Amino acid sequence: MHWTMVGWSHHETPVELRERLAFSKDQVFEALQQFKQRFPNSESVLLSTCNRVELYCASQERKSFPQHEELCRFLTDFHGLEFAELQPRATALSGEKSIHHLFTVAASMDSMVIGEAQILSQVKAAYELACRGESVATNMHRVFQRAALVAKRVANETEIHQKRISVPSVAVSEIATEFFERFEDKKILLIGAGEMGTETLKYLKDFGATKMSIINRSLERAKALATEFEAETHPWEKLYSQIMASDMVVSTTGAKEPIVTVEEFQKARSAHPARAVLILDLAVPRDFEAEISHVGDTYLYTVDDLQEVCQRNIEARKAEWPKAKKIVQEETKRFLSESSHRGGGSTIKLLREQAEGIKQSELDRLLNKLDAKDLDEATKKELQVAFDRLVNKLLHPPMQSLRENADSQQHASLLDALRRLFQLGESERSK
Amino acid sequence: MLSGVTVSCFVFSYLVVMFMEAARVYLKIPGRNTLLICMLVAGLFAHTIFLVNTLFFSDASNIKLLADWFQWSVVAAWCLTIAYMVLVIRNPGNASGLFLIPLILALIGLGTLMRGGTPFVSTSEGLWQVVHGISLLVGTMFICFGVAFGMMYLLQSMRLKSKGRRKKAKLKLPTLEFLQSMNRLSLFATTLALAFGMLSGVALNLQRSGSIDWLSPGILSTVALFVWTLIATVLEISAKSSLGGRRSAYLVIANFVFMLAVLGVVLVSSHGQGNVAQKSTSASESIISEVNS
Repeated sequence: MHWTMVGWSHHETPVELRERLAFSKDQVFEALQQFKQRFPNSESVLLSTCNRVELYCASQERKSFPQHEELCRFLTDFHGLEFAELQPRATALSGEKSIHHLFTVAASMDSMVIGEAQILSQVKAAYELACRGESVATNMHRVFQRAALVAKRVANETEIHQKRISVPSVAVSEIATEFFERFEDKKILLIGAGEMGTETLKYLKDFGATKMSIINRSLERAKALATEFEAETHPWEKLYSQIMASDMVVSTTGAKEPIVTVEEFQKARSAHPARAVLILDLAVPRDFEAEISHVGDTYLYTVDDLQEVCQRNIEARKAEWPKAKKIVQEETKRFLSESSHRGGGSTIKLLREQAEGIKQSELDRLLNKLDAKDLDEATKKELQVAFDRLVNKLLHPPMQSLRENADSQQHASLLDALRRLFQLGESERSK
Repeated sequence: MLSGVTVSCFVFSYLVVMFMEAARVYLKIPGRNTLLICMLVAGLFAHTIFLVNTLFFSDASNIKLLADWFQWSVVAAWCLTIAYMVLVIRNPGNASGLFLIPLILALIGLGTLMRGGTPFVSTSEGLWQVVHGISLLVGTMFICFGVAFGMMYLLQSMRLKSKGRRKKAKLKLPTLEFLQSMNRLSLFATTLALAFGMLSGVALNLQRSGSIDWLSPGILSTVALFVWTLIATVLEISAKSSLGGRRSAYLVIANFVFMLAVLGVVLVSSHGQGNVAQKSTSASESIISEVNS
């Protein structure tokens, strides 16, 4: 069995080039159809995300298997890009390394943000698209299904995915959860309707928040976001009264000066003396004056506080790296070993069938010739046994070599050599 | 039944549990939570056996329930231990035992100090006596429960306020919302239990002597405690935040301090106790006689 991949990722290729190389869903489908026509004996899956474009190929035969350069050229030609410009940045891997790479990618160990969960669904989507385009067969089914299992194993057996590392996710999953048991009945106020605010709302919604309201200088923008998240909107003038009515406040405006001052805050608070509030100030520059953190029952967290947690979590993820790497290595070896046995089994079967066919035809020819000399049954039987022994003795050394090298890297080469030397499967193909 | 079980058996188990809770700061013990739950279950089992023996089998001819301060304290400690076990099973990672077990041990210690003292006087108004005793027991239990959560709230609040402390914290505590809800629960339940205790006390006194000595130290201090918890409850109801505030925590801690003072007065004034010479019978015996009559 032969495996290969070529691709460009965030490691070597800047975003400007990755953008040009990216494939839309329809383009992936079209590219796979073209690839199938050009390399009919190869299976293929094309993975295209914002951080990588990778083409994975598998084939039983080395002879018709596309070379790295051909694959690279195929991808650049598809977009009409300069091969010479992109080829040096490409990652090209074969055999065990390509399988290892796929498992590493699926387990989110090659991602820009290690441990991010999105990549596995992208790998699965790429595989499903290839299935729809019928560009995959047994080998790709096996390797991509195994990749999903490897990713699951890494997620279950290590903590590489557990610690959040983006500011909004840490704000919700690590800080807010130390305050609240549940979010369904909490009044949550979002100040600002930018990207950070949107991401925070997503996390809050995932955690079950339902009573969310948005305040933004531009009410139109707040309304658009509120529709998306089924939240309420309030005019900017109600800023202080809404803060006082909330259990949790998330602030993400782009204001150059603090929008909430300690004097105004205290004045507004005097009407609600016993109400405790969690404020997550995710804005830079800060939206809440730092002195507000000294006000009783007010818990103010700024981006700096959260960045510290993010950094700690990144370190924690890195600490899990060796464990995850070991799992990927183990699974790669196991997969290749299983593949070898499967591939070896079909080749051996072909070889035996071919030898059996030749033996039988030669034996029949000889017996027909000897029939004229009145050969008795015992002699016929003796001849049959002699032919069987001859075939077995001839096949024994190659079979033994295959068995001995079943788990080594040479196994695929031996099988390939066997297929080519004995021209196994050639007759079927010629038909 | 297992007559060899003594106070020291379950006290030892609870001490081990407390040590394991405290060791979270210094030691990483594999399977700590499982060990902790096992030890707690063992302690609770011994505690239950001891209670059954004391309440029902110590004198076969004379069935007693909550007959003196010792039984009263050990039963209150048992109830608190059950509450702690529920918390541990709900969230084994939290170090709530560090706050609850000292109270459990203090109750057992108080009972042991009072062991062999004058038993509560028995009256023919057995039902009111039972309601009075059990209500005050429940009230005391919830006040102890409240003080543990009040302390946890203040500590957690301090840690969350000072991000540096939060970062270094090795003891995991429940969320502020949960602690606040426990503070609230203890305040409301205490007020309710004390109200029942006071009303049943009034009924008991009226039936017994036709009048109430409002100025007796035991009654006066209990009424004062009730009035205080009522005020605290009204204050708590006025706060609508999910996270509450430190005020709730201070209220439940003040409840506890008040209760200690009342307990001291009650113990000194021999409230509810008869003469040593008087034959001691228990509330449950009174119920039985009520039923029979």
